[in-house]
Amino acid sequence: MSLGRYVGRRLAITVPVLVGVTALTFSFVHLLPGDAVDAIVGFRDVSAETEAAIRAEYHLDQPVWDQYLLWLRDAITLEFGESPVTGRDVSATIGRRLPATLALGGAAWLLALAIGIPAGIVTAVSAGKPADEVGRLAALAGIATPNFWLGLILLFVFSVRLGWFRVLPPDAPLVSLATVKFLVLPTITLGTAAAALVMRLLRSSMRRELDAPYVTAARARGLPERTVILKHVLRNAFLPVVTVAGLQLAFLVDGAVVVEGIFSWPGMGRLLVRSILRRDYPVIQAIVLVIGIAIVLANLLVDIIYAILDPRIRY
Amino acid sequence: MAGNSVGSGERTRLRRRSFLTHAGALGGAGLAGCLSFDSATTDGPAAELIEEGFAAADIEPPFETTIAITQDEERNRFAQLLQSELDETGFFDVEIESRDFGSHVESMLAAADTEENAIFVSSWTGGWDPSNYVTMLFHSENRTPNGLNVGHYENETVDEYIDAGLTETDSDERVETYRNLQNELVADSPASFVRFREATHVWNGDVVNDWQTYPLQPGSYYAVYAPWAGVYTELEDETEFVGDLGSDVTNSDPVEINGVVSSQATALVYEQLVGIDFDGEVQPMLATDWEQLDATTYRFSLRKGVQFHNGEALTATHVKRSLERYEGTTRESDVYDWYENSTVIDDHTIEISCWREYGPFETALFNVSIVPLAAIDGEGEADHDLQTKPIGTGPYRFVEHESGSHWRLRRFDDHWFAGDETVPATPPIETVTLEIITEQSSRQAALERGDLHFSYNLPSASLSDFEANDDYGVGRRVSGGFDMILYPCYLPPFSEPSVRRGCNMLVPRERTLETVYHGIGQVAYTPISPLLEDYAGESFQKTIANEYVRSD
Repeated sequence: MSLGRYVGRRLAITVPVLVGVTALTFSFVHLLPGDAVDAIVGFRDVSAETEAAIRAEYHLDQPVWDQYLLWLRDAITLEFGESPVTGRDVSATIGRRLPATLALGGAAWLLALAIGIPAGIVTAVSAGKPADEVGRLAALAGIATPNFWLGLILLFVFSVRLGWFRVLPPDAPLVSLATVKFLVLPTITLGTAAAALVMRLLRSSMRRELDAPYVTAARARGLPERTVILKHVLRNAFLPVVTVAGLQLAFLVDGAVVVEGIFSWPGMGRLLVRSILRRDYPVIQAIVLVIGIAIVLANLLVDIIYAILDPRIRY
Repeated sequence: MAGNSVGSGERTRLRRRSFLTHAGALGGAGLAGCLSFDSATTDGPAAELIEEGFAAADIEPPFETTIAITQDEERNRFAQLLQSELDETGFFDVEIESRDFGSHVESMLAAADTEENAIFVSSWTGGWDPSNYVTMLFHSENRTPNGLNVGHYENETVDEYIDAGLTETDSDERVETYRNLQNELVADSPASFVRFREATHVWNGDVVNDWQTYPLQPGSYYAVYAPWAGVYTELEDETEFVGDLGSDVTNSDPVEINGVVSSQATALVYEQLVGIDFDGEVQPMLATDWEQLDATTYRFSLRKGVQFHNGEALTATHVKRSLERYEGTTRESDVYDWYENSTVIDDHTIEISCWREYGPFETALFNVSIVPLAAIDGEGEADHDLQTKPIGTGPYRFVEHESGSHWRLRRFDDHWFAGDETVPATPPIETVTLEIITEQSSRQAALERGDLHFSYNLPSASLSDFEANDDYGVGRRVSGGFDMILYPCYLPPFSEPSVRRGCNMLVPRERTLETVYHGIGQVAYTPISPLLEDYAGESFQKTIANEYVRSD
């Protein structure tokens, strides 16, 4: 099967996956204790007629299954309706938050790769030497540090004490020097653990490859060590890293809840938490859909890169 | 409140007052005495009362029950203190269960229905009228799910007092009624009142010249410029004021606002017929004058030359339509709890009739924002959708709202106020930016770095550091909020008043205030906040405490 057809088939499978994911979320959210109407009226005293009117307006008077189908029908046309809690258009709300999330998640991901890959190579080739020891210790610390703690420490040291960075996002466009500067601390906070993970994975994977007979053969043919490592070993050692890096990308997009809170970053993580607390069903659903799409696309991307890295892999 | 120099003096006075309350409650015994006072009751009258109740309900101790709280570190520590007090009596075997806010509220609403065996730790916020503090919580008609009488408490005398308080318009009579009501409530203890909260405002002294602390949270930003209350703030070398909001603004339409943050964000945008100033006095705002024509009818003269941010001029029709707009909305009870109809006499005169005599009439009017006709007639049209774009007559107009980021207002140059000797005609602050910050520690960091000029919502543990630091100003005032424990009156042994009263005596109030809340707030024995001094002043609180709660 050609790569093109493979991608097409994978994309087709995506549809039932997304339907399943959103159906599950829909039922879980409705299983939560709490009535959307109570949240909408803010636990106020309203007359029965008003309550019935609100229920009818947002289809809350219908069975959960019908509510889901109604939602699905609109979602297909990317029509997510209006949030009963805020009265705002759901697509617009998410549309405003998504770029912020992508910017932070993307930056953290690039940072993870930019640090994780070189560090992985260095520690692998210098196994047992001080550089390796230091790198492994740093990776251990990186993975073990909870990001809320790291974020607060960075904020305290670099923003409050040294005053280098703002605590609050600047009032500037996403693509601007001020915003890029502000993003330094959140990016480090979010990217550290992922960088450590990538490094450790690449190191162990390269160690395995370095012992392989083809490496000995390459060296015996007199190839420079640099070529051996970068052209032969790295390419083969990269497969597991690609898997993890791909999944990390999806994770960074939706896993930034804590970091967004600490740095008051207007991303989707905070929006999701608030929506869950306020039982804002349409917003929760739309965010889950976006996250679902992100994960599916990341997986697809991983598979495509696999095929490019290893010509033996055909689907 | 005269002029702008009251801030620091007021602070000292308030601090001294809260100190006196402590000293009084401790009987001069100091902190060590506080600890022994809290636990000395174990074998005393509290235990006797509980024993009596257990016998009457025919229940063998220890009774297993749960303290239900929201996921909150302070609540958790309070629950642990309470747990150890209750366990120590030998009558109870208590567990603590914490839930997220929504689930906690839901379980309270459903508690009586499912006969849930739990004591609920909760809080409530009242306003400038005493009825706000009791009606929803203790009137038998407001048993859940109709209201928030969670324990399904029923007491005819309490109901009568609550009803009388609502319809009584004579202020002395009202004071008497609400004092009797509180007496009855504490004697019967459907709930234990633990702590009155404080409004705690902190500002950067290098930027903000002085700041007056409005005690109720929706009015936190009145200090920026509230000519009707004789208050304004100047900045040092700045035209933009940066404050904070504890969560996002969800909806800015007066008839749909359902969170305190949205009210806070719009307080400088909307105006009402009357205002209640920093001292709790009623002041004219959009009405210049009013008189009571008969028991239920009032005539208002409206201010002339008032312009809305969209250019409309205020008339009596705006008032009528703004009131009637509440019908069928989520906040209709704000108005239709008393509103019958209104008659437009001329452009600047209106008569408002109530369907019953209504004690809290003026405070109720302070809740009704007057909005432009374009927003009423053009409802749903993007330009006039108050949900996302508030338009009022206030000194600041709405500029933008970046969801999850900030909320911004700019000075409205055509505001009606012409200036007097205390407040200038033009607000010195040109732009008000409110940053949306959900993490307490980030809020503190932002204030310390100078990204924020002001915060109303810092962790209580850090307030003493700010108070000790000359670079910051701190304003503290008792607010309308209180923390309480709601007993499941539907469930033996808590159906026995003596058991509830015994528990009420055991509540470790002093220790909670000192160790959990770092002294921020005041010990509470009754529901009505001492903010309403006539109804629940210090000496009244003390009398109640001596009579029913303290045993030494």
